[in-house]
Amino acid sequence: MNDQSLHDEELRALARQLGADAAERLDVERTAQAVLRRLREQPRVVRAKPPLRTWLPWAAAVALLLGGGLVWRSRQPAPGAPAATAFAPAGLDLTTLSADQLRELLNTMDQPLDMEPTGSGESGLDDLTPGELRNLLGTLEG
Amino acid sequence: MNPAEPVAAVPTDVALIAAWQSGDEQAAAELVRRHARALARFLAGAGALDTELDDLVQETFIRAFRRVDRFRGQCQFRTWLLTIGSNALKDAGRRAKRARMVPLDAGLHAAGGDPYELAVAEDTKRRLAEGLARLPRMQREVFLLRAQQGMEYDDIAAALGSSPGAARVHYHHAVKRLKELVT
Repeated sequence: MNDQSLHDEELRALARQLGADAAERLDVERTAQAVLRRLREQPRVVRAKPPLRTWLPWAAAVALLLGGGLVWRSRQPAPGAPAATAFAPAGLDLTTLSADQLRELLNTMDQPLDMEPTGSGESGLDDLTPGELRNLLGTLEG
Repeated sequence: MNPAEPVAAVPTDVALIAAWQSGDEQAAAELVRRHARALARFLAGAGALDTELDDLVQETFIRAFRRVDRFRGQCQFRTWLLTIGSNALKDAGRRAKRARMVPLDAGLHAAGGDPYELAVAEDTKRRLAEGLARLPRMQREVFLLRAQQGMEYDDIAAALGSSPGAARVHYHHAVKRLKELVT
Protein backbone atom coordinates (compact mmCIF):
# COMPACT_ATOMS: atom_id res chain seq x y z
CA MET A 1 0.00 0.00 0.00
CA ASN A 2 2.75 2.36 0.87
CA ASP A 3 4.75 1.84 -2.30
CA GLN A 4 4.59 3.92 -5.44
CA SER A 5 1.67 2.01 -6.91
CA LEU A 6 -1.34 3.31 -5.02
CA HIS A 7 -4.18 2.62 -7.37
CA ASP A 8 -7.47 4.41 -7.61
CA GLU A 9 -9.32 1.49 -6.09
CA GLU A 10 -6.99 1.42 -3.11
CA LEU A 11 -7.47 5.11 -2.64
CA ARG A 12 -11.23 4.69 -2.72
CA ALA A 13 -11.00 1.85 -0.22
CA LEU A 14 -8.97 4.05 2.08
CA ALA A 15 -11.44 6.88 1.66
CA ARG A 16 -14.29 4.58 2.59
CA GLN A 17 -12.50 3.71 5.82
CA LEU A 18 -12.07 7.34 6.77
CA GLY A 19 -14.39 8.15 9.61
CA ALA A 20 -16.02 4.72 9.55
CA ASP A 21 -15.30 4.02 13.17
CA ALA A 22 -16.35 7.46 14.31
CA ALA A 23 -19.61 7.02 12.43
CA GLU A 24 -20.15 3.65 14.07
CA ARG A 25 -19.74 5.21 17.46
CA LEU A 26 -22.45 7.76 16.74
CA ASP A 27 -25.62 7.06 18.68
CA VAL A 28 -28.07 7.58 15.86
CA GLU A 29 -31.24 7.36 17.92
CA ARG A 30 -29.94 9.82 20.47
CA THR A 31 -28.95 12.14 17.62
CA ALA A 32 -32.41 11.88 16.06
CA GLN A 33 -34.09 12.76 19.35
CA ALA A 34 -31.67 15.62 19.94
CA VAL A 35 -32.41 17.03 16.49
CA LEU A 36 -36.15 16.88 17.14
CA ARG A 37 -35.73 18.54 20.51
CA ARG A 38 -33.65 21.34 19.03
CA LEU A 39 -36.16 21.85 16.24
CA ARG A 40 -38.89 22.23 18.84
CA GLU A 41 -36.86 24.48 21.13
CA GLN A 42 -35.47 26.74 18.44
CA PRO A 43 -38.38 27.90 16.34
CA ARG A 44 -37.41 28.96 12.90
CA VAL A 45 -35.95 32.44 13.03
CA VAL A 46 -37.20 34.68 10.29
CA ARG A 47 -34.27 36.83 9.41
CA ALA A 48 -35.09 40.54 9.62
CA LYS A 49 -34.81 42.22 6.29
CA PRO A 50 -32.44 45.13 5.98
CA PRO A 51 -34.09 48.46 6.87
CA LEU A 52 -33.71 49.68 3.29
CA ARG A 53 -35.97 46.94 2.01
CA THR A 54 -38.54 47.69 4.68
CA TRP A 55 -39.07 51.36 4.04
CA LEU A 56 -38.38 51.43 0.32
CA PRO A 57 -41.83 50.21 -0.81
CA TRP A 58 -43.49 52.66 1.57
CA ALA A 59 -41.38 55.53 0.30
CA ALA A 60 -42.21 54.56 -3.28
CA ALA A 61 -45.93 54.43 -2.47
CA VAL A 62 -45.84 57.86 -0.81
CA ALA A 63 -43.90 59.32 -3.73
CA LEU A 64 -46.44 57.90 -6.17
CA LEU A 65 -49.34 59.32 -4.17
CA LEU A 66 -47.74 62.76 -3.89
CA GLY A 67 -46.74 62.78 -7.54
CA GLY A 68 -50.18 61.65 -8.63
CA GLY A 69 -51.78 64.31 -6.47
CA LEU A 70 -49.60 67.03 -7.95
CA VAL A 71 -50.39 65.92 -11.49
CA TRP A 72 -54.08 65.80 -10.71
CA ARG A 73 -53.98 69.28 -9.18
CA SER A 74 -52.06 70.72 -12.09
CA ARG A 75 -54.81 69.54 -14.42
CA GLN A 76 -57.56 71.19 -12.43
CA PRO A 77 -58.57 74.69 -13.63
CA ALA A 78 -57.97 77.49 -11.21
CA PRO A 79 -61.19 78.92 -9.73
CA GLY A 80 -62.66 81.45 -12.16
CA ALA A 81 -60.28 80.48 -14.93
CA PRO A 82 -61.48 79.20 -18.28
CA ALA A 83 -62.17 75.52 -18.32
CA ALA A 84 -59.57 74.89 -20.92
CA THR A 85 -57.09 77.12 -22.62
CA ALA A 86 -55.64 75.32 -25.57
CA PHE A 87 -58.25 73.21 -27.23
CA ALA A 88 -58.06 74.89 -30.62
CA PRO A 89 -54.93 74.24 -32.57
CA ALA A 90 -52.48 77.10 -32.36
CA GLY A 91 -52.76 79.54 -35.22
CA LEU A 92 -56.27 78.42 -36.12
CA ASP A 93 -58.38 81.41 -37.18
CA LEU A 94 -61.82 80.74 -35.78
CA THR A 95 -63.39 83.45 -37.93
CA THR A 96 -62.80 81.41 -41.06
CA LEU A 97 -64.72 78.37 -39.74
CA SER A 98 -68.33 77.71 -40.57
CA ALA A 99 -70.91 77.05 -37.90
CA ASP A 100 -70.79 73.29 -38.55
CA GLN A 101 -66.98 73.27 -38.34
CA LEU A 102 -67.14 75.22 -35.12
CA ARG A 103 -69.69 72.75 -33.68
CA GLU A 104 -67.55 69.84 -34.78
CA LEU A 105 -64.51 71.39 -33.15
CA LEU A 106 -66.40 71.96 -29.94
CA ASN A 107 -67.74 68.43 -29.99
CA THR A 108 -64.23 67.04 -30.24
CA MET A 109 -63.37 68.65 -26.95
CA ASP A 110 -63.74 66.28 -24.07
CA GLN A 111 -64.03 69.10 -21.59
CA PRO A 112 -67.65 69.33 -20.43
CA LEU A 113 -69.12 72.62 -21.42
CA ASP A 114 -71.06 73.03 -18.22
CA MET A 115 -67.79 73.81 -16.49
CA GLU A 116 -68.03 77.19 -18.12
CA PRO A 117 -71.42 78.73 -17.46
CA THR A 118 -73.02 80.01 -20.63
CA GLY A 119 -76.01 81.69 -19.13
CA SER A 120 -78.43 79.06 -20.25
CA GLY A 121 -79.16 75.78 -18.57
CA GLU A 122 -78.60 74.00 -21.88
CA SER A 123 -75.29 72.74 -23.06
CA GLY A 124 -76.40 71.95 -26.59
CA LEU A 125 -74.46 73.68 -29.36
CA ASP A 126 -77.13 73.47 -32.00
CA ASP A 127 -78.97 76.49 -30.65
CA LEU A 128 -75.94 78.79 -30.81
CA THR A 129 -75.34 81.16 -33.65
CA PRO A 130 -71.96 81.23 -35.39
CA GLY A 131 -71.09 84.39 -33.48
CA GLU A 132 -71.90 82.79 -30.16
CA LEU A 133 -69.91 79.76 -31.10
CA ARG A 134 -66.92 81.96 -32.02
CA ASN A 135 -67.23 83.78 -28.70
CA LEU A 136 -67.40 80.48 -26.84
CA LEU A 137 -64.37 79.12 -28.62
CA GLY A 138 -62.61 82.37 -28.02
CA THR A 139 -63.18 82.12 -24.31
CA LEU A 140 -61.99 78.55 -24.31
CA GLU A 141 -58.92 79.54 -26.29
CA GLY A 142 -58.20 82.27 -23.81
CA MET B 1 -39.85 -14.20 5.08
CA ASN B 2 -43.04 -15.64 3.79
CA PRO B 3 -43.43 -14.49 0.16
CA ALA B 4 -47.17 -14.09 0.66
CA GLU B 5 -46.60 -11.73 3.53
CA PRO B 6 -47.27 -8.13 2.53
CA VAL B 7 -44.17 -5.99 2.62
CA ALA B 8 -44.59 -2.53 4.04
CA ALA B 9 -43.48 0.04 1.51
CA VAL B 10 -40.43 1.96 2.64
CA PRO B 11 -41.14 5.66 2.25
CA THR B 12 -38.72 7.50 0.03
CA ASP B 13 -36.72 10.44 1.27
CA VAL B 14 -38.96 12.73 -0.74
CA ALA B 15 -42.04 11.28 0.94
CA LEU B 16 -40.46 11.72 4.36
CA ILE B 17 -39.56 15.32 3.55
CA ALA B 18 -43.15 16.02 2.51
CA ALA B 19 -44.38 14.41 5.73
CA TRP B 20 -41.99 16.52 7.80
CA GLN B 21 -43.19 19.64 6.03
CA SER B 22 -46.73 18.65 7.00
CA GLY B 23 -45.67 18.53 10.62
CA ASP B 24 -44.75 14.86 11.06
CA GLU B 25 -41.80 14.87 13.46
CA GLN B 26 -41.22 11.15 13.11
CA ALA B 27 -40.52 11.64 9.43
CA ALA B 28 -37.65 13.93 10.39
CA ALA B 29 -36.40 11.38 12.90
CA GLU B 30 -36.46 8.69 10.23
CA LEU B 31 -34.40 10.86 7.88
CA VAL B 32 -31.84 11.30 10.65
CA ARG B 33 -31.72 7.54 11.22
CA ARG B 34 -31.18 6.95 7.53
CA HIS B 35 -28.43 9.41 6.88
CA ALA B 36 -26.68 10.21 10.16
CA ARG B 37 -23.91 7.63 9.83
CA ALA B 38 -23.09 8.51 6.24
CA LEU B 39 -23.02 12.16 7.23
CA ALA B 40 -20.74 11.41 10.19
CA ARG B 41 -18.38 9.45 7.96
CA PHE B 42 -18.30 12.29 5.44
CA LEU B 43 -17.64 14.89 8.12
CA ALA B 44 -14.93 12.80 9.74
CA GLY B 45 -13.34 12.27 6.34
CA ALA B 46 -13.46 16.00 5.73
CA GLY B 47 -11.58 16.55 8.99
CA ALA B 48 -14.18 16.87 11.75
CA LEU B 49 -12.84 15.89 15.13
CA ASP B 50 -14.43 13.01 16.99
CA THR B 51 -15.40 15.34 19.78
CA GLU B 52 -17.33 17.68 17.51
CA LEU B 53 -18.87 15.06 15.25
CA ASP B 54 -22.15 14.63 17.12
CA ASP B 55 -22.73 18.39 17.30
CA LEU B 56 -21.92 18.80 13.62
CA VAL B 57 -24.29 16.02 12.62
CA GLN B 58 -27.08 17.60 14.64
CA GLU B 59 -26.32 21.06 13.30
CA THR B 60 -26.36 19.78 9.75
CA PHE B 61 -29.77 18.17 10.16
CA ILE B 62 -31.17 21.26 11.85
CA ARG B 63 -29.99 23.40 8.94
CA ALA B 64 -31.33 20.91 6.41
CA PHE B 65 -34.78 20.73 8.01
CA ARG B 66 -34.97 24.50 8.32
CA ARG B 67 -34.30 25.04 4.64
CA VAL B 68 -35.79 21.86 3.26
CA ASP B 69 -38.09 23.93 1.03
CA ARG B 70 -34.98 24.66 -1.04
CA PHE B 71 -34.53 20.97 -1.78
CA ARG B 72 -36.38 20.28 -4.99
CA GLY B 73 -35.11 16.83 -5.82
CA GLN B 74 -32.29 18.20 -7.97
CA CYS B 75 -30.07 15.50 -6.43
CA GLN B 76 -30.34 12.82 -3.79
CA PHE B 77 -31.32 14.11 -0.39
CA ARG B 78 -28.16 12.57 1.05
CA THR B 79 -25.89 14.41 -1.39
CA TRP B 80 -27.65 17.67 -0.58
CA LEU B 81 -27.34 16.93 3.14
CA LEU B 82 -23.61 16.26 2.85
CA THR B 83 -23.00 19.59 1.16
CA ILE B 84 -24.84 21.29 4.03
CA GLY B 85 -22.64 19.34 6.40
CA SER B 86 -19.58 20.62 4.60
CA ASN B 87 -20.78 24.19 5.14
CA ALA B 88 -21.45 23.49 8.80
CA LEU B 89 -17.95 22.12 9.15
CA LYS B 90 -16.48 25.16 7.47
CA ASP B 91 -18.48 27.44 9.73
CA ALA B 92 -17.13 25.65 12.75
CA GLY B 93 -13.89 27.39 11.86
CA ARG B 94 -11.54 24.79 13.18
CA ARG B 95 -9.81 23.70 10.05
CA ALA B 96 -6.35 24.74 11.16
CA LYS B 97 -6.70 22.76 14.33
CA ARG B 98 -8.05 19.78 12.44
CA ALA B 99 -5.04 19.83 10.12
CA ARG B 100 -2.82 19.29 13.12
CA MET B 101 -5.11 16.82 14.86
CA VAL B 102 -6.02 14.27 12.26
CA PRO B 103 -8.38 11.71 13.77
CA LEU B 104 -7.11 8.18 13.89
CA ASP B 105 -9.54 5.32 13.84
CA ALA B 106 -9.53 3.49 17.12
CA GLY B 107 -10.50 0.34 15.28
CA LEU B 108 -7.03 0.01 13.87
CA HIS B 109 -5.54 -0.04 17.33
CA ALA B 110 -7.94 -2.67 18.52
CA ALA B 111 -7.78 -4.91 15.49
CA GLY B 112 -5.55 -7.92 15.48
CA GLY B 113 -2.92 -8.65 12.87
CA ASP B 114 0.65 -7.84 12.11
CA PRO B 115 1.58 -4.75 14.11
CA TYR B 116 3.86 -3.56 11.33
CA GLU B 117 1.13 -3.79 8.71
CA LEU B 118 -1.31 -2.10 11.02
CA ALA B 119 1.11 0.71 11.62
CA VAL B 120 1.68 1.12 7.88
CA ALA B 121 -2.06 1.13 7.18
CA GLU B 122 -2.61 3.64 9.94
CA ASP B 123 0.14 5.84 8.60
CA THR B 124 -1.33 5.70 5.08
CA LYS B 125 -4.72 6.64 6.38
CA ARG B 126 -3.31 9.49 8.40
CA ARG B 127 -1.53 10.84 5.36
CA LEU B 128 -4.70 10.52 3.31
CA ALA B 129 -6.57 12.55 5.91
CA GLU B 130 -3.79 15.11 5.95
CA GLY B 131 -3.79 15.21 2.16
CA LEU B 132 -7.53 15.77 2.12
CA ALA B 133 -7.14 18.65 4.53
CA ARG B 134 -4.70 20.28 2.12
CA LEU B 135 -6.93 19.99 -0.93
CA PRO B 136 -9.06 22.88 -2.11
CA ARG B 137 -12.51 22.55 -0.62
CA MET B 138 -14.24 21.69 -3.89
CA GLN B 139 -11.75 18.93 -4.68
CA ARG B 140 -12.07 17.52 -1.18
CA GLU B 141 -15.86 17.51 -1.32
CA VAL B 142 -16.03 15.95 -4.75
CA PHE B 143 -13.47 13.31 -3.79
CA LEU B 144 -15.34 12.33 -0.63
CA LEU B 145 -18.72 12.34 -2.31
CA ARG B 146 -17.39 10.16 -5.08
CA ALA B 147 -14.82 7.89 -3.43
CA GLN B 148 -16.25 7.61 0.07
CA GLN B 149 -19.98 7.96 -0.55
CA GLY B 150 -20.12 6.43 -4.03
CA MET B 151 -22.19 9.26 -5.53
CA GLU B 152 -22.57 9.71 -9.27
CA TYR B 153 -21.01 12.72 -10.95
CA ASP B 154 -24.44 14.00 -12.06
CA ASP B 155 -25.66 13.96 -8.49
CA ILE B 156 -22.51 15.58 -7.13
CA ALA B 157 -22.70 18.30 -9.75
CA ALA B 158 -26.36 19.02 -8.99
CA ALA B 159 -25.66 19.28 -5.27
CA LEU B 160 -22.66 21.54 -5.73
CA GLY B 161 -24.19 23.68 -8.46
CA SER B 162 -21.55 22.55 -10.91
CA SER B 163 -21.45 20.43 -14.07
CA PRO B 164 -20.69 16.70 -14.20
CA GLY B 165 -17.62 17.42 -16.31
CA ALA B 166 -16.29 19.91 -13.77
CA ALA B 167 -16.98 17.43 -10.94
CA ARG B 168 -15.01 14.79 -12.85
CA VAL B 169 -12.10 17.18 -13.28
CA HIS B 170 -12.13 18.07 -9.56
CA TYR B 171 -12.13 14.38 -8.70
CA HIS B 172 -9.18 13.57 -10.93
CA HIS B 173 -7.18 16.52 -9.63
CA ALA B 174 -7.91 15.35 -6.09
CA VAL B 175 -6.84 11.77 -6.83
CA LYS B 176 -3.63 12.92 -8.49
CA ARG B 177 -2.74 15.16 -5.59
CA LEU B 178 -3.65 12.58 -2.95
CA LYS B 179 -1.53 9.94 -4.64
CA GLU B 180 1.40 12.30 -4.49
CA LEU B 181 0.78 12.99 -0.83
CA VAL B 182 0.04 9.47 0.30
CA THR B 183 2.66 7.39 -1.55
